[in-house]
Formats: sequence, structure tokens, C-alpha cells
Amino acid sequence: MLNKLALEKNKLLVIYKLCVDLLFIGTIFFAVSLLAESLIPGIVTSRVGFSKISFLVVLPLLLSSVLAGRLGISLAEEKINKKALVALVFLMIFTFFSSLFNLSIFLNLFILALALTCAYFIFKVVTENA
Amino acid sequence: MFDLTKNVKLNQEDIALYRRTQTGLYVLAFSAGLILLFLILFSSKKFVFSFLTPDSNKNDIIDPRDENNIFPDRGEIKTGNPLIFDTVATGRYSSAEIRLTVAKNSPKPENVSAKVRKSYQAFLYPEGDPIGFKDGTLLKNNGGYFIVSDGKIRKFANENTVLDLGFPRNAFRETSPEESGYNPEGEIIIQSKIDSSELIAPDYPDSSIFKIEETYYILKNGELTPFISEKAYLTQYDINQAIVKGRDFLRYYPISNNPLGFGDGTIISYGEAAFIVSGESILPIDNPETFVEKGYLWEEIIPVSGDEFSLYPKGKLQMLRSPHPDGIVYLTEESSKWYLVKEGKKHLLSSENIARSWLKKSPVTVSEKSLELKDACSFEKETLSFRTYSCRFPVDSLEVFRGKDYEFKLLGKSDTRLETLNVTFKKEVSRDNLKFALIDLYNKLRMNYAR
Repeated sequence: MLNKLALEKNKLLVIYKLCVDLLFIGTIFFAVSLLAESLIPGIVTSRVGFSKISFLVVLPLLLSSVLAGRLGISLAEEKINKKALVALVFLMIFTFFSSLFNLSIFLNLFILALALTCAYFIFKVVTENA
Repeated sequence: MFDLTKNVKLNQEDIALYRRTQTGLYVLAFSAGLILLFLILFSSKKFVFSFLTPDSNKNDIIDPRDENNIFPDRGEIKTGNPLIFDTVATGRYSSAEIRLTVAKNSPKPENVSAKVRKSYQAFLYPEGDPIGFKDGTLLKNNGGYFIVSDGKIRKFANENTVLDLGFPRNAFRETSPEESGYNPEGEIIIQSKIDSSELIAPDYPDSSIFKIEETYYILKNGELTPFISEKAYLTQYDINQAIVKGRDFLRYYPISNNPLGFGDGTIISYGEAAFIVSGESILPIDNPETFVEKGYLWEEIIPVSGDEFSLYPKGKLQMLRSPHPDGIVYLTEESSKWYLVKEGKKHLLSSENIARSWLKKSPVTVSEKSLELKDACSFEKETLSFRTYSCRFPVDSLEVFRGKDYEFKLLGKSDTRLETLNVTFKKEVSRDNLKFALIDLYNKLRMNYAR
């Protein structure tokens, strides 16, 4: 009985690890699609809908968090990865700027600055509560 | 292989299982990425029409009709009466496949064959009667002076009449009797009745143009109709053909409250949006791709003021699938023939002189050869289906023709009733197609970011 439970736990650990890999793949796919869409609108979504691409991120995210709860895995507190943060901020700035490209450059920069300020304060509030 | 969850430890047996599955997962993801890239670069384009739900928004085959321009009710096709329809496919395609699904109790279609041609939709309109010079045009021939007034060509009795009325002599363009033959002859303008007491209005023919202070007017039905601006006037007439008058001239004629705007086919912009002028309205152009594919030129856009813009009601959105509106002038590249689009027909403008009276900008260039219908293919029943017939043919030879409208004509030797109609354009995997797909993506990118 104990052996069987251990076996099940080991298999769940494998599934958990695969879910994290799938989440990684989904995130990369989502980010690349977002970047491509902001450059040429419709290039991806005319073939694969964004709901399907979002599904690729949401499904492994939910599954891995459920499995983590069941297996008693908790996320170790890690320092913010500066490289990832820079890449994320760059992606955000680029998609924002690109989507507002038809506006006047000053209005575009103003909205971008406003969005970045909002994002910064939301980030501060979330991390402080944590 | 990397591990994103190093802290989650597995036993030896499970490590091997995880590594195998992880490799499979990444290979699968990589393959999915490649397939998506393939779909982007060598995309196919499908158009459908269901005769069961002809009003559905999903139907994107344009205007299925018979030779008399009548929609085939419930998909009924009669012997000898072809089914004609259009699709607009941007991009470079290698082949097209047409599939027909016949209704359950319909007779089987026999010897159905397809013909195809590719051009601009409005250039494929049937040809109407040739059209002559535009109202207001000033012409001279063999020492005689003429004005086109209410569609008719009216001769001035003599040169003195022209000078007495104040028409600028240099505004009369040389013409031939053949050219002027396209407008019916009107009454001769005998003598201007300029009253010395200046109480009676001088007898100017309709379509005479005046410049009073900074405003241009055209005489229409005894009223002086002002142009909204000089910019608008110059899209219709030449600057030197207006008779310059003082403000006191306005007392002779009532002034119309409905000012005239830009010439048909003029592209105007207001804010970020571009519109094409057609008759009494302006038609918004939905995106830069439509603008380019319709053969318009960026440098010919005229930015307009709020007053000029508010003169027009907005008409139907101009999309890729919309035909060119009334007022567009085509010029064939092989034989330099000019055509004016008007009320669902294209009318020959028999000379450049006539065409220039209608057009103050560049025409849309077309290929005359694109009018020829080419034999495409014959339909055969699909092996795994009871009611589906299909045929496939190459379309890369049509790529040389301007315009993205493919017009298909299906003709069979028996009555039949169709349920659905599909057309799929496909790209072959080849170096050329890859090159064109990349160029196309680059152009789309440029269109989005070029200001």
C-alpha cells in the first residue's frame, strides 16, 4: 500500500515537472505570438486564435498549481531575475508603443509612461502584500 | 537537457521517464512552431458560400449570379446559364481548387467546366456606351470654340462671342471632330446679351465657370454653385478656365446653398483616415492594405479641412472585397484605353483628352488582357463523396495581372442545384513562394509603420 502511494507520488512529480516545462513552452509561444501580432496584426491570430494560445499557458499553470498543492511543493522565495524582468519590461514597452503607433508620438509616450507607472505601483503593492 | 524544477527530486527510474517525455514534449512544441511558421509562409485561403444560408456573414464568395446578374435562388443552375462569382485573394498563390456540393435530390452535374480571369472587380463590369467630355470643358477645333454644357457640345458663334463673355482663350483645349462626336450637339451660343444697363443677367451657357474674389462657381440650372474650396475646384477643373469676375456679378444669379466638393475618385484624408470621393458621399478605406491593393497612390492623398470633410455623408466602407466606386478611371497598360466606372458599367473614354476632362489625378492602371476568360478545369466527382465535385487549376500565370479579384464562370450541360460552393487558393512550397511570402510580410510591416 505504502509502495503504491510512493509510486503514485513519483508519477505525479514527473507530471508536475512536465507541466512546468509545458508552462515554459506556452509562455514562450505566447510572448512570441504577442510580439509578432504587435508587429503585423493578424499574422498569428488569423491561423490560431489567441484564446487557444492563452489556453496553452492557463492549463499547465492551473495543473501545476493543483499538483504543487497536492504534492506539498511550495515555491522557494527567489530574488527577481533581472534579465527576465528587463525582457518583460521591454516586451511591454514594445507592444504598448507599437499598438499606439498611429497616435502622435508625444501622446504615445505619455500613455506609455502612464502605463509603466501604473505597472510599477501594481507590482509594488503585490510584492509588499506577499 | 535543462531542468526548470531542479529542487523537485526524482528517483533514477523516473528521471529516465521524465527525460524521455520532456524531450518528446520539446520536439512536439518545436514541430508545432514549425507547422505554424509553415502556415504563415505558405498559407492557403478559403472562401465559402452556402446556398442554404445565402445571407450568412460567413459567406465570403462575392456575388454569385447568372449571366443576367440574377442570384441563383436555392443554388439552382440551369443548363447553358453559367454561374459567375468572385473572390478577392491577396498574396501570391500557385493553384486554386473549386468544390461544389450538390443538393441531395439534385440531378448530377454533367461536364461542368470552370473559366477564370483576374483583375479589378469594377474593370470586369460589362462595357457601357462611351462617354464624352465632362460638363464645363472648353474645346477648340478648326478655329471654332466650344463648351460642354449639360452633356451637350455647344459652339460659340464666333471668337468675339468667346471674348465678349470673358472666357480665357488659353483654356480651350485642341480637340478633333471624332473626340467631340461623343457629346451630342447643342444649340449654338449666338450672342452674349450683355445689357448696357447691367440689369439683365448676361446669357452664359450652363457649366460656365467663374472666379469671384477667392471663390470658384459653376453655373448650373441658372444658379451659381460655389466650390467648397480652391483645392476641391482643382480636382475637377483647370485653374485657367474660370472667368474672373467682380463681386457685383453675384447679383445676376441666385447662389446655391449646396456647394460642390472634390472630383469623383479623389482620395482625401481627414485625421488618420483616408476616404474616396464618389458622387455625393465619401467612402472610408478600411486599411492601408486595401489602399495599396486598389491601386491608389499615397502621394495623391489630399488632406482636407473640417469644413470640406463635413460636406459629405459617409458611404459604405471600402474593403478589399469592395469594387472600385463610381468615378474611378482605369487606363489599360497595353493599349492606353481609358474607362470610367459608372453605375455598374465601365464606359470607354475614347481619348486621353476626354479622360483628362474627367480626371485630374493618376488613373488606376489595369491589364486589358486580364479581361480574357481562361479555361481553368473540368469538374470530377470526389472519390470519397457522393455529392461533392471538385477541380483544381494553376493560378500563378494570372499573377502578372493587376487587381486581386478572381472571377469564376462555371458552365454545365445539365440543370443542377448547389448546396455549397468553396474556393481554396493554395501555395506550393517553393523557393520563389518563400521569397514572395517574406517580401509580403516585409511590406505589411512597412505599411504598419511607415508614416
